[in-house]
Amino acid sequence: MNNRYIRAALFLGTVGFLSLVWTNTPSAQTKATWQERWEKALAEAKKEGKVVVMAPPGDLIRDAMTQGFKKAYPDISMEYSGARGGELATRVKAERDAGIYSVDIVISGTSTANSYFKPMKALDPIEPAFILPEVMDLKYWRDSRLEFSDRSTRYTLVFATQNPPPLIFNPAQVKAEDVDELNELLDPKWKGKIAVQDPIPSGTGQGGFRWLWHVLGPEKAKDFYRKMHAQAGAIDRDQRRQIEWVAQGKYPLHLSPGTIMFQLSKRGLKFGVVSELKDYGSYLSAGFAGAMLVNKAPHPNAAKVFLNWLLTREGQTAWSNAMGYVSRRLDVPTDHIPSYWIPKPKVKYWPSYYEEDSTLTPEQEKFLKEIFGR
Amino acid sequence: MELTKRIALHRVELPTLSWSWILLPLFVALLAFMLAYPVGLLFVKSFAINRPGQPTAWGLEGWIAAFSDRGLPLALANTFSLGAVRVAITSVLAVFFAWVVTRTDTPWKGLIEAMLWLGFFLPLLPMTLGWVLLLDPQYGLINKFLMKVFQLSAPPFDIYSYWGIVWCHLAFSTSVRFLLMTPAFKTMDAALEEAARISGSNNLGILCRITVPILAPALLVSTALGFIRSLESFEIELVLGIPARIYVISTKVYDFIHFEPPLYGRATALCSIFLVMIFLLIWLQKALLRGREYTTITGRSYAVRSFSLGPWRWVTFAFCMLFIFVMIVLPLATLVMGTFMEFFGNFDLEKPWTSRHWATAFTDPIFLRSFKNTLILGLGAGVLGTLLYALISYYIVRTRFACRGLIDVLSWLPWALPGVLISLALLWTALGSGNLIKLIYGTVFLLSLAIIIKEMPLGTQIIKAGVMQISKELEEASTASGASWPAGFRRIMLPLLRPTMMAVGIIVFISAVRDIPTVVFLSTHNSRTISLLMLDYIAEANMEKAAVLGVFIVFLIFVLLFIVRVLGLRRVVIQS
Repeated sequence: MNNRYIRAALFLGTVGFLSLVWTNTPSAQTKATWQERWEKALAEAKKEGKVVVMAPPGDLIRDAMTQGFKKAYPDISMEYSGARGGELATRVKAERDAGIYSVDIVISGTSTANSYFKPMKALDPIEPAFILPEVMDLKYWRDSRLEFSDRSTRYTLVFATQNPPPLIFNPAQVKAEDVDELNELLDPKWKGKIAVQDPIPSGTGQGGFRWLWHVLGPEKAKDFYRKMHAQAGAIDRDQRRQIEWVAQGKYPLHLSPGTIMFQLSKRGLKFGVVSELKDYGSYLSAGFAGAMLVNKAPHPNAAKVFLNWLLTREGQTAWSNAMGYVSRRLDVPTDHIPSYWIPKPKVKYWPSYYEEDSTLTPEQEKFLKEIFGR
Repeated sequence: MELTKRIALHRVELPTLSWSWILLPLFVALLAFMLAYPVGLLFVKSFAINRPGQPTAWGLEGWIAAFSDRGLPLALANTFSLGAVRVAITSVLAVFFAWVVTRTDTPWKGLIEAMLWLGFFLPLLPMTLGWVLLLDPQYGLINKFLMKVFQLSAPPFDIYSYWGIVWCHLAFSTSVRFLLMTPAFKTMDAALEEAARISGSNNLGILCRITVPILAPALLVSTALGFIRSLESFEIELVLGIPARIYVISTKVYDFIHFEPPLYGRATALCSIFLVMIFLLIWLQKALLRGREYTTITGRSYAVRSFSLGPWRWVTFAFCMLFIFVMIVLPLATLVMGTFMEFFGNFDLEKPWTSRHWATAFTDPIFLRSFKNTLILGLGAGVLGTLLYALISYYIVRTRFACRGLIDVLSWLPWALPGVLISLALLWTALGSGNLIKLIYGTVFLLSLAIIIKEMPLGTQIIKAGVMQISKELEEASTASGASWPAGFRRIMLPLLRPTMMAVGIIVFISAVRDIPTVVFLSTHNSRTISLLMLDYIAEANMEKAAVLGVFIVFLIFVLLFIVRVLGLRRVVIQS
């Protein structure tokens, strides 16, 4: 009898405990919370009426963002200002010094984020602005995590990473297997035949040379820089011109081609690609895919709505289609992106976008200027 | 009678005194605020050595780094060498064309003048790409043609060279200098030339001994402006010079500005070289013109007559047409052709031809707003700027008030700085000068102001040369007849300066509609212009689509000029 009572009590206790646990699970609680937060943010955003976004220049990305967001949220308009990172930051700094806070979101390269916006103390932590489960659920993101350029402070979210090929070549003049190792580029037969992307300004030229410094070590890297400078037929900053030179055969090889190669190949330029070197692999770049939430924003709720939209499958697809970037979201299609651009599983890439690696060190800068300064 | 005269004189003097005392200090203060303050701000900030976001620290590191650049001596030598060669060649060509158009009976003068104007309107960067398409040593069409026809083993031309840079500058630089000189040629009284002819001088003798010396102010100004402009020029040097490893000061300044983070301090430091050159040229100009009289428009009626060249007129005609065809029509045709190609000059693609750039450039959702802003900017800067330059020129040349020497120097200042630094200086000025000034931030008015400042040296100097040609006796007659100074300025000076002011206004309009660097920091979402739309296309390496807008702007300007001409003719008909 006693046992029966005890069993009944245990049963009721278990049921009671389970029901208690069930009603307090995070999912149920979060579900209620995110919806409330989202509806509140959306209602406030509609009252604010617009969101001001500073991002890369270009009509394709401007249209993708403004049209895509308008379709999703017709009641919130978007002011999209496109400019280079340094120009964006200079303008924002001048505005803030004058007490004008006009910007809600900045999307830019990680060097701009870490060299300007973070030291300027113009950023708010970005994660508290994430509301939609589609954005917050880590299963949607590569390696089941959100990636930040500044890993300790987590202001700049890196939402896309791609593999910039170290080399392109003219297939009529060069065989891929002749140039897929680093030292093969120093073969005397290529002397005067390589166009090198200038490594001094930030961009893919510098990214490629920083990567070499990392994989070779300072001494070997310095030696390679010297030899490559002597080997180069042209050292230029015009990305399109160098890629055209390769396509037309003026220079059969181009080291560290610019990301603009995506748009140019889509428009019909033909060139061969060495997506990674056999001996040293390659690296990952974030390009312009660093999202920042600006503090003292004039439209904080519209900023939240835009940011969540940008990080959904829909927003990431729009970005990826326009820029040719590989989203870190796993459910964003990549069939429109050339295969060489997509990081391969099981290959270890050097991430060039972490705060400590996203700019040249003083030693690197000094040496590069000595060799490549003009 | 005597009493009436005294009263009249009394009437004339009092308003003049009051206008001067009230308006002139305000005018000088406004100019100082527009010119000296932003430049001063830029100069002071060039000594800031802290990284972005760090507490401000001051030092000479930026200046030392800028001037200890090991490539600087060579860049300096290239800059001055290229500038001198270009100025020498364009001086001869521009004087010749201005003379042909205004003082001779060469056939089709109107067409020659219109085509030389066209040379100024054409967008520089796409035109350079047009020349690359023609003269690239590897795939240049002219090189390929000549190699095939004459069985040459190597291409005869290389556009990526010293002379390639000079060549690409010729059409634009000659056109600018032609525009600057023509008004002076047009308003020159033919009496002196006729006197020389009666004394037995031939056409060449008249040109060298009479026309050129009389027009010395206009020629000197145009030479000085041409030289400064050639020091600053960077688009062609960037496209053609870098592959040939020919660096100039302006490309070094460009490098500093496009560094991450941009090194504005070093760029400003390096621009001080331009400032020194400007001071030297001002001094030289003053020394050469001091103590001489250059009036060609007096109270007497003056005649502008063409001189008969006889059969030589066909030679001058042929030379002009050859220049126009080779330097303007050929690259323009290439440019227009290029806008219908997927890639400029790349015939090896599967589908090299396309109309996509034209179809998509005008359907951009922000095109209409940008177009409207561009028109407001161009007309605003053109009209306001020209009036301001006329006032400044008059103030410098005609008055004896204090500070006019300073205003003269200030009016040159903007040419010591590239457009992007002017833009930055105005951004700091607009945002850091109190709440009232802050209101203009983000408006098209601020963009207009930037363009007015940028083109002030050209506008002021060329109108100044025009004012120097007008005799004082005309104004004295106006004052003696009881007209106030503003009435005299409006009824006497402005009509006489009209050809010069029209030329300046159009130059400012063109600059306003296609200048990117000068407005880059000042334009916001609501004040975007077509030139910034072009920047979007350039950012995506779509130079062809950007060139479509460049060609469209040229077309727009031609339509505007046509309308002005038709309206002008109608007015003449109505008046007659």
